Amino acid sequence: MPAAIEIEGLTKVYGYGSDEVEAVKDLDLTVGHGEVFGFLGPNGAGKTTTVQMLMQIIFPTSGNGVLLGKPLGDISARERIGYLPELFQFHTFLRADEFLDFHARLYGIPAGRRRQRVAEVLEIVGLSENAKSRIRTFSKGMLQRIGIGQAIINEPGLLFLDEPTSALDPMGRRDVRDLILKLREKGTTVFLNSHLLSEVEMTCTQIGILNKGQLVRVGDIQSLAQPTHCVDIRVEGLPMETMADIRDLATKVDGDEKEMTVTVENEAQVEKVARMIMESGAQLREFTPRSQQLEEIFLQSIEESD
Amino acid sequence: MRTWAMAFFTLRETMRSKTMITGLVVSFLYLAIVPVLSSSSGGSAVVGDMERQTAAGRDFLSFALGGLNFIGMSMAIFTTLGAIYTEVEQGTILAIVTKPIHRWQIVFGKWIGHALLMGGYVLIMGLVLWATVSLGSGSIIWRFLPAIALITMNVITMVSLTLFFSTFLPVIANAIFVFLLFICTSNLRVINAIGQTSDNIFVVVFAKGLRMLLPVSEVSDLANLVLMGKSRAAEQTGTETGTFAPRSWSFGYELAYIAGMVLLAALVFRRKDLR
Repeated sequence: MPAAIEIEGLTKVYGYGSDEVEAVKDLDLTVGHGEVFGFLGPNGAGKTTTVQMLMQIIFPTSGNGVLLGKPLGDISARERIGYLPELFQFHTFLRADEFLDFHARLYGIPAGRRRQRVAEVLEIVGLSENAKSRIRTFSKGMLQRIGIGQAIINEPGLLFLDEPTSALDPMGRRDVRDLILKLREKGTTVFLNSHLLSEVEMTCTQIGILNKGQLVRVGDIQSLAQPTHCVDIRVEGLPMETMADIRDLATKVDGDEKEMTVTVENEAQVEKVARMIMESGAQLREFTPRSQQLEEIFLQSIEESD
Repeated sequence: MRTWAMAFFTLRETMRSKTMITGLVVSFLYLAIVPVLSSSSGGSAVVGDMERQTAAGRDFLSFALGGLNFIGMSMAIFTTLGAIYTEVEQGTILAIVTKPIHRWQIVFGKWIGHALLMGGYVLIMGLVLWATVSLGSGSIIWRFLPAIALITMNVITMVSLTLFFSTFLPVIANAIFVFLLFICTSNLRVINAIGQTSDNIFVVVFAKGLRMLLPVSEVSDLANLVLMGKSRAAEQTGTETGTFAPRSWSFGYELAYIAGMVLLAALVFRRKDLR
């Protein structure tokens, strides 16, 4: 089965001559079916430009891509793709149900199914009670929900969400997270553009980090996380002398002789701390090397590539 | 189906616009005062024997047609100015172009929506005028029907031209450009006369070229000629003879012009970055 998204050498250059700006540089990326892919990067990294090229809102200067096995811009593939733009703008004169009905028509959903699907989607995004309300009367959060609604009206196999929770309160964010997780269970591939790392950490199976138009890291969070040489330890009966030895060896020790977090310089020293505890005769209850959190991975990737 | 979805959406959107509502108010005012304007500008009152009544009715319709042509074309311009550019500027186009719809279908759908609305509006206004005059004069002026069809085509031409410019020009620039073109082509004889008086061949050639650049003026003259007949049209406006006399094939050219503008709009929009 081909990947849901395959990008090869995707490049976008704006301007000419001295004003030339390379927004995305030679981007290669593959996202498998059923993955929830978090696309991270600082502002101006080229995340939205990339998604816009994939959706053919703007056209690549060079390179190409394949979505659901079809070349970029293929109309039949788009029938199975949903897209929520960043800062989505609406035709506010429409009612919520009319708005979704219009987008369902654009997807070519037949009349009978359309009515049913509009009602389903209004339920999913929590706007059933506002079906007959004009969009101009909606709050920011409601606008974002109806925007998500139009993106999933076709039950997409591939969904692009560009900053889907930017206008939402914590409860709204949780709802979007739950929705993404439900879509993941159904096997939908989700490409999530976000700068909210916690959101990505909770929902995504794979991440890619973009900086200055270049992909600097890609993979699952576990494989990208480097050991920090920082260990959480719970121990009983640790002699004072061993504790002193650990303090001498470590660059930093937080806590006491029963519960501590020890930071050392390398992997060999982590092993040495473990050996010291075992040889002291103390009872080791917990010895958990810490991994990098997504925020640390992100910051490190950006700093390294700058 | 998708093109029609776009067309009906455009129709609904435009019908609710302030420009359209203002245009409709102006139209109703025009319908109410056109008999007064017609009599004060030399048009005959609808009285007397049948032949005179028919002639008077035709004069009245000719006058009313001129006004309807102007109002219709102006409304077509104003309602279509931002058809595509504003959608791109506001970002509302993003959720549309990413649906399984070709860009040419978006352009074509928008064109159908605007053309149906403005064409329908002029046609209905014209038919109301026609029915009123026919009932008042007691004779049916059949020549008005092809004339109003030509005026409807004029309005659709302005929709097509403005839609084409809206694929790349902001609203104000589009308005300036289209109105300038419209005013110039409405005054070809004046431009031509200036060229001849000053013995400037370029101005003369420019006037003749402009006629092809926007054929609405010639088709308006043709509509009047169809309605009034050659001799009465000559008395009335003097447009049936000379360099700028309407040519019978101009309506065919206008049809091709409409198709060309829609095609050009689709071509420009096809590979345009929407950022």
